[in-house]
Amino acid sequence: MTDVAQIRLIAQREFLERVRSRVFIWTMIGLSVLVIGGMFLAGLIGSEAQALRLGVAGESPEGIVEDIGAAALAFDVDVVVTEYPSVDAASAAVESGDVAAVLVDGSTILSNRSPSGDTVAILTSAANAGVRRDIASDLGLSETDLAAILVPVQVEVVELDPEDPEEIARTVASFLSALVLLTTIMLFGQFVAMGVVEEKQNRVVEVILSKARTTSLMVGKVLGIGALGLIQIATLGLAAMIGLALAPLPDLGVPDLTSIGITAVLWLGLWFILGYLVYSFLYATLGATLTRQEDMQSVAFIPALLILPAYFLVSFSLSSPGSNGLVTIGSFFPFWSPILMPYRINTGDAELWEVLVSIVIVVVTVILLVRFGARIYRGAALRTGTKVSLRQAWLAAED
Amino acid sequence: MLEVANISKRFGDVVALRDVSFEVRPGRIMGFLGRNGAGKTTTMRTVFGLVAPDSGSVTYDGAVVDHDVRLAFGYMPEERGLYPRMRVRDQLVYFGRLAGLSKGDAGTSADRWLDAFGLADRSHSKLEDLSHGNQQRVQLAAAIVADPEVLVLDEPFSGLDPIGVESLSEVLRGFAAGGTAILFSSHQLDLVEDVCEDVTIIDQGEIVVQGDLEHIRERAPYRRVEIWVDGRLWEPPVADVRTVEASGRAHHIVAADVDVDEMLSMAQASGSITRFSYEPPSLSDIFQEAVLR
Repeated sequence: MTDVAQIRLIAQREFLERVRSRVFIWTMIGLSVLVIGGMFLAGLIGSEAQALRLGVAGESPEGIVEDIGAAALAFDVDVVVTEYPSVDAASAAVESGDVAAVLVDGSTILSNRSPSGDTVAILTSAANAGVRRDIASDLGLSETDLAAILVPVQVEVVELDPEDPEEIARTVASFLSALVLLTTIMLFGQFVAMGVVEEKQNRVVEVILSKARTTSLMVGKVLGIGALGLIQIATLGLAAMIGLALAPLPDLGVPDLTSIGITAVLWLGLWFILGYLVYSFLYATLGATLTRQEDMQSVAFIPALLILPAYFLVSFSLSSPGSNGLVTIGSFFPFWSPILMPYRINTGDAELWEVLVSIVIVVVTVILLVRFGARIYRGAALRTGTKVSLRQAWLAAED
Repeated sequence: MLEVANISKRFGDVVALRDVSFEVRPGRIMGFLGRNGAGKTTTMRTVFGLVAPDSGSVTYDGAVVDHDVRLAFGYMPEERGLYPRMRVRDQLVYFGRLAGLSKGDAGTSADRWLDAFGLADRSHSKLEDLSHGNQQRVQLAAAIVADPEVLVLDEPFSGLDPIGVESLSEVLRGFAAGGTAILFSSHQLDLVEDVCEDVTIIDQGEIVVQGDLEHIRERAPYRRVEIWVDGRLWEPPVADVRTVEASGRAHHIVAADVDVDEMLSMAQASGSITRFSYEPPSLSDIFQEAVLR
């Protein structure tokens, strides 16, 4: 039996034994329902929250509520207006988020933060309307003339450097992708470590290693669990698409994520595989030094610490798009590139040669990790009792 | 023929094996004896490449035992272990295929052994749902499912009830009859005596006795004597006599060149003989002579 055939057999076992388990099937169903259901729920809540909630308080000009309604109509915005008996009550309502803004005394706008353009425009023109009506009646203008005067002028805004909705979509998608990559790589990496410890703990590892090379066992295990990870991601991706297509999602200004395109999804898949390989072999190596599942905590933090800076770099770069130097350098570091390179690809910042170079670096790293890991594995596989240090395991297995 | 030649291994300052050599021939069952920590498990692990010896070699039919050669070997480690949540039959098929059987052949063989061990109705149970004894049977089945040419079993009889012991002995004899070379370790000397043709005794990492069991017994420089005079065990007044007590019953070990007639007359002189036996030493006598002296 060739090594390749053995690796395939081992991978198959890892995959099938997990796929068949009830826990896995129910987790998948549960997560899919959660994703689709969550989108429907967001749709329902979102459509109710459509109307702009405004308030008035203090010594408002006469007919202010109607004026706000008329102005809102002119700006094509739905509003709900609440009258507050006192300025204090209005402030409390603003602070608690019941209303977006309150017009006080017809001359002040109360708002938690800088109010939206619509809010300012509607409240200002409504406040003006009361004042103008008084002046008009002093001048003896007819109702019709007054109505014509009160129609607010709609000033068109021309953005010289407009936000490209597609670019926003790309950035959001890049961040979400980075997040998905990070969590799945960590999750399935941990599965690998758990699988390794399990085999050691129930001692089946001695039977297997009497038949298969350490490398075959390690690679087979990583590939089998990785295939499971791909299926899980694909299922969740499919659930998300079903949700996007079916759920009554309101236009909340959320960019259309489906505009990202199939190429980006394929890149994402490739980087998941690369990142998963780097981290799962690391996890397998660390897992081999343990003898009990309970000791998992003592090594699981190492890969987590290693990957975390990549997440921070993505977050920083999202909030200040200018500072990309660190992200660029980091995208060539094999433990970060699976997060940072796809982020750069998605934001359209990476050159093809850069991508290829970082892929080569990652592949070389994986090969080195397999060789290093196999030796540790061999040195530690038959150790029982306490945790074995990497050094002890390395020395125990002479080639 | 499996040949272990001049294997030495140190773990730090501890010498685990010193110049260990023996051979297991096709169709023969070799018992591998020694006290705890004598080096039995380490020796067996070197056969499977699980422990790399510092020097020496393991060969099979003249070829160095590597990964490919080992596929024809079956192994049951002392530390039992299979996948607890995997179905019994799937598990056997997996180990059969890992050793190179086709899916179909592995299935046929798995069914055959499950049937032979009375586990046919548990084929689709998870291993962890089986009783301890049945798990042990599955473990044995995993070692033999690929019809190995060499079978290495570390303490296969430990934890078995008398019926289990008998059925395992039968399986071993069957494989030996089919030409398999078998090496197994055990503490149960009477069992080894019953099943094995060859024995190897290891003590503190060194081989102290080795060969055909009948031969060893015949050639031993001492004899087992049990003489009762007037209903009591009588100690022969010869040089170097040793009293051995086994399962509550005592006998003596004397040098092989002691004159039996003379010993008998001395016994007769001291009373009336109620029991007399004089025979080559048992395996237990040999083990004690080799390891405890």
